[in-house]
Amino acid sequence: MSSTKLLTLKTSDGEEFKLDEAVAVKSQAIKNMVEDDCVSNAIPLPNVDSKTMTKVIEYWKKHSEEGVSKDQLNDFDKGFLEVHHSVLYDLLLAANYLNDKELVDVICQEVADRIKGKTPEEIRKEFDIKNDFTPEEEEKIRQENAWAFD
Amino acid sequence: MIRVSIKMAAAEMDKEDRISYLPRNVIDRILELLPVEDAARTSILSTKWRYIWAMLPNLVLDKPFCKKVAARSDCVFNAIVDKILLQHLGDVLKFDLDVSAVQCPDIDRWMLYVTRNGVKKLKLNMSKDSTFKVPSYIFNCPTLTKLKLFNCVFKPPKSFRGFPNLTTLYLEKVTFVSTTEIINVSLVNLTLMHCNGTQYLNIVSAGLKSLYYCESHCNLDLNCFINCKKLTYLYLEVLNYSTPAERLTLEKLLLSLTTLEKLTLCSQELELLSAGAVPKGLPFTLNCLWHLHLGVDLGQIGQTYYALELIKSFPNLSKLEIWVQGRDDIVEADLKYIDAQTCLDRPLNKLKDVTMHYFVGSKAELFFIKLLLARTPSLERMSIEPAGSLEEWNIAIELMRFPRASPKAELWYLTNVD
Repeated sequence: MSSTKLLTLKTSDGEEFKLDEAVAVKSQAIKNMVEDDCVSNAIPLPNVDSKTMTKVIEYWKKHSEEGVSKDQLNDFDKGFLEVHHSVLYDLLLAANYLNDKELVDVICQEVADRIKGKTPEEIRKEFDIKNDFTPEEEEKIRQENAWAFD
Repeated sequence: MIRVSIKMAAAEMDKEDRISYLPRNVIDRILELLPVEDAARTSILSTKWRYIWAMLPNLVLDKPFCKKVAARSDCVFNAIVDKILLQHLGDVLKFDLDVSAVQCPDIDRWMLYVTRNGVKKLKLNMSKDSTFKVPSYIFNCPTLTKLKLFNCVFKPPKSFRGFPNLTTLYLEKVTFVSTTEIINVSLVNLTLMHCNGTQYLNIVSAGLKSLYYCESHCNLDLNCFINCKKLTYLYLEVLNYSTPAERLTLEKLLLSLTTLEKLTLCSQELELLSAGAVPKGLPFTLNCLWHLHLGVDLGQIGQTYYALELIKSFPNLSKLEIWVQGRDDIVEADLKYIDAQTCLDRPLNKLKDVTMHYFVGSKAELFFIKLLLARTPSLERMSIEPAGSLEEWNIAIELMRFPRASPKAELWYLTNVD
């Protein structure tokens, strides 16, 4: 049985989160700090707010639970990712900052799924991207990669 | 229903284009997870997106994409891959190409391009009956760190001595046609699956950490791995050993691998090693080995005996996985031998986790499990994965009745295995 060592994480808005070290090291960034032995006090996370950290910890805890089946994890992930784009971006930025490759991949896949199969116009609408090409420029790009636009 | 309330909330949130301002590595990852055409189309979204796909360092042209495009015609396929590579900006760090469903792809030219543009990870799947010869550009590529080839002919130029920076080499259904020397200090992982002509291979790689060899005949001279002092992972699955001399080589090999941590052997290896009289105690003790994965035909007492001797040679074994091969059940006399439990005279103190795969509920398996449960005082978990549907209740009840040396051992009977 591994010893349950608790780590304290401090988010940008000053809130502190206590977490099992075994769970927190899903973040490669935190893992490095633990290995370099600079975790005597709270670990500062200036790039993550408490709202996002709560969600990240929720994900980490679920994925560290014993006896959870693959189906149950898939259901959890589905519900976890069924949020508005801006929540996803906050999560993505946090996961990237914390260097949790697994979580980054899961969220990137969700964003990719929201892009897949849509026309450029639909994608722009969905993600509020402004089309700043002239019609001539747009036509040129279409011709360059005609195979993709068929 | 959830989506409706999100859309309503979205109307209240600021309409801000945040996706275009995500870190570049994140956007690259999103594009990598999209089908190729979808990723290419992002170049038209806005000026910010214009060249993101063109500069994507990892280009994956997978089987579904290639098959779909090649369905139009081979010429069209070649033209499109040409276009993709020509409009690419910057180095191609990773290039995955699966042309197993394409008739006449123009591979050489594309290999020339990526090897000149800094490719580090290269994966090439040719079709099943292809006679494609790996071109010299690949053998001479100085930037390669990871190479995966399927269905090719591997004939290096005379000057070839090994890839200077390669750490991972994965060859599946690859054919060697003449003496091939791979002298490579940097090689860490080597996988040879179902290759032909492995008798021509001479591998000198002192830094090798992982070796995976799955073959129908043992032609590979295992002697060349005897000096791999850093080997931590060995997987051997050979269907057919042709000479008894191979037994000595295998034993010599196991004896030399003092740093081995994970070992997988199949019933054919056990059959070879147990041929003839099995001595009491094996000539090697591997202290670093903590994970053993064995394919055993429990109907053959020689194999069962050798498996137990192996288990005893690894004093720090903490994880054991057994997959049951062979359908014959054990004879009564041999059952008594296992039941007597003298074959495992001392307890396995470090063993914490045992899994039985493809469990069919034969007498031999039940006695084997009973033996393990009685001799593992530190056991935390015993998992049984049945091969198919069995009379589960009866088997489970019988398993539960076996006495356990470890008070905290949990028995997991896994019915829904992926």
